[in-house]
Amino acid sequence: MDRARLLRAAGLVTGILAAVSLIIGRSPGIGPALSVAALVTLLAVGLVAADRTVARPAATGVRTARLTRRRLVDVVPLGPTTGVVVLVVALTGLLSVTSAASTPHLHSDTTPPNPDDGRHFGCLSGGMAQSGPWPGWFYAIPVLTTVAVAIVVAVVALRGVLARPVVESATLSGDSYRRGTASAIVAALGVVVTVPLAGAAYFAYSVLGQPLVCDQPVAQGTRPWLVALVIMAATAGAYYAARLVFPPAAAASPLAAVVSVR
Amino acid sequence: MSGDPLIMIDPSQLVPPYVQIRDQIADLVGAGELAEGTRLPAVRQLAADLGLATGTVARAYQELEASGHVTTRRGGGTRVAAQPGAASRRRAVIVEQHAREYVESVRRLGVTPDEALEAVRTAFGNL
Repeated sequence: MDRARLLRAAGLVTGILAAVSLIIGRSPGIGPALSVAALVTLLAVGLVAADRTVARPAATGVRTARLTRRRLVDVVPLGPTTGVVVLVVALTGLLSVTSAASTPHLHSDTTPPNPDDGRHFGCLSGGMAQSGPWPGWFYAIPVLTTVAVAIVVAVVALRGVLARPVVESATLSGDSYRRGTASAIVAALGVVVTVPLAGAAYFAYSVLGQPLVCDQPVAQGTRPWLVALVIMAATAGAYYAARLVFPPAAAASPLAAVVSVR
Repeated sequence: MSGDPLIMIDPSQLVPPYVQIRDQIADLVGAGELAEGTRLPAVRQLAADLGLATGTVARAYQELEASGHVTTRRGGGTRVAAQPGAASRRRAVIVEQHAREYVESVRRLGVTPDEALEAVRTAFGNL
């Protein structure tokens, strides 16, 4: 594995480990709300470190450049990017519903009452306190804010990649660098979205399945859909993780803008 | 490899980089190598590719706009403007002008026409 792949893989693994460690064992604390931010940070560190392994041409001597305008649509992979958009819509939709469904739990039989703090789901009277966090607005706001920030950062990074010159070699052209890096950025964004989507769907499924949260089970019909969402998000997450570490080889493009330095 | 026109910056020349960019693009536009409506690279992209400050490329684009070679619209980038006259005639004029400049330079050095032509052939062969 080359150094750039190793660094992206390191960012991915440490990011997921950090996110999971913030979720596990802190139910229902602030940890899950910060997990996506930790994931984004470590993925970004991995991507930036990997990018630094590609040398920039020295600004000395005679330089040439092609008068070709490079566009985002020429380097960003269409399918994976569309997938990220769909996943963002799914995450926003799920968290909107779970935020609206979060309730106070004022008359638990066994635990002190909880106000409508955006991280509980239960009944206004009776039942037991839930086990595990409910993905209400307490988590939805920081998670969606972090995802929005990650999207903005990704767009800025993609625009930077477009303008970035590289020292070309037999194995690396400017075009292949830009396509590979753009693919890795989109894949990182895919991981950023799929992790909270899988987590939110799983915890919603889990809380709804706890028998004594309400006197009567509620919204049981949504549980199979939540399972499907967990599986879909996990599969998509694995796909994007693989693309992040192993971006597909760039196809030759007639729009390639090659910079050479003599 | 793309067939799009190349421009070259030589820091050893006495001519400032923005003038080198301006003159080369003006020649390409005048000779019809860059067709009307062709969108030029973003200032940031061309500056990064050539290892120059963005202000250098921006100044070249501004002067090209002032001379009527390109037009710039907000959100539409910088595009090659329509040029009067046939492209082939403009191209011939530009080539003749460069040839005259070359001949004047080498004549000062006492170079014969055969030597000058051989140097041109060699330079083409080295491209």
